[in-house]
Amino acid sequence: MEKEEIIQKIRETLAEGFEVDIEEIQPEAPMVQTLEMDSLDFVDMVVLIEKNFGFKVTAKDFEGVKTFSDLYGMILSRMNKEA
Amino acid sequence: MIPESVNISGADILSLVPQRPPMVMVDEFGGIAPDGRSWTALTVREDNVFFAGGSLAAPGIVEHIAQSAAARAGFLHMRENRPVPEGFIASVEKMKFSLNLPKAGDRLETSVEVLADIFNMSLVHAVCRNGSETVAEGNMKIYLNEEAQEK
Repeated sequence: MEKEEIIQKIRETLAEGFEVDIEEIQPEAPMVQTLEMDSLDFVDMVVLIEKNFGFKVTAKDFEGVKTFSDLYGMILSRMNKEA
Repeated sequence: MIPESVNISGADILSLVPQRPPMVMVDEFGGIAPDGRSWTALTVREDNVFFAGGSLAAPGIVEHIAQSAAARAGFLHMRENRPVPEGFIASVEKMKFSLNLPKAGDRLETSVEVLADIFNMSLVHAVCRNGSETVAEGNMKIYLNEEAQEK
């Protein structure tokens, strides 16, 4: 899957999982605020990522993840490592 | 090393969960299967604090499921010689209950599977059966307060 396809899949997954308009999920938008996440929601995000992108997420993966661009980078990096 | 297939019951169950009588809602822990599911049991008694109107009330089943997850975490911590953490129910999601609530003498058997965990928060899926009948099934988020125990 190409990088842009993966990013689009991430956007669609988050929009559906967190019930937000996909257009709100823009690279430089703050992830937590845009998705209105609290601490309970992180475990839902882990389920979505593991189910859709096939790798085990740890707390360390979220270090430095502030924007959706950061999240895309983390997922792409982990997918490359798993490949 | 404690084997994956165990049977912890009676007073020994108190080594796995932080609750104490009369709030203890598991009386047997059967270990963790190769697929990751743990197994616990509770025999319903009339003197159970959640027993009302001739049956175990739904909040008692929720508490049993939460303590089943706590026993699983407690077992894993005990195996690593770490203190058993306190656990708190953070949310109950998509939980369905049977209309036939357990009666005195019934034995509940519950499997718990961890779907994901991060930042001391676990999402578990639990199935609670009374014989061949599923009395409750759903997801629960549980917060494990490990720092307080390790200070």
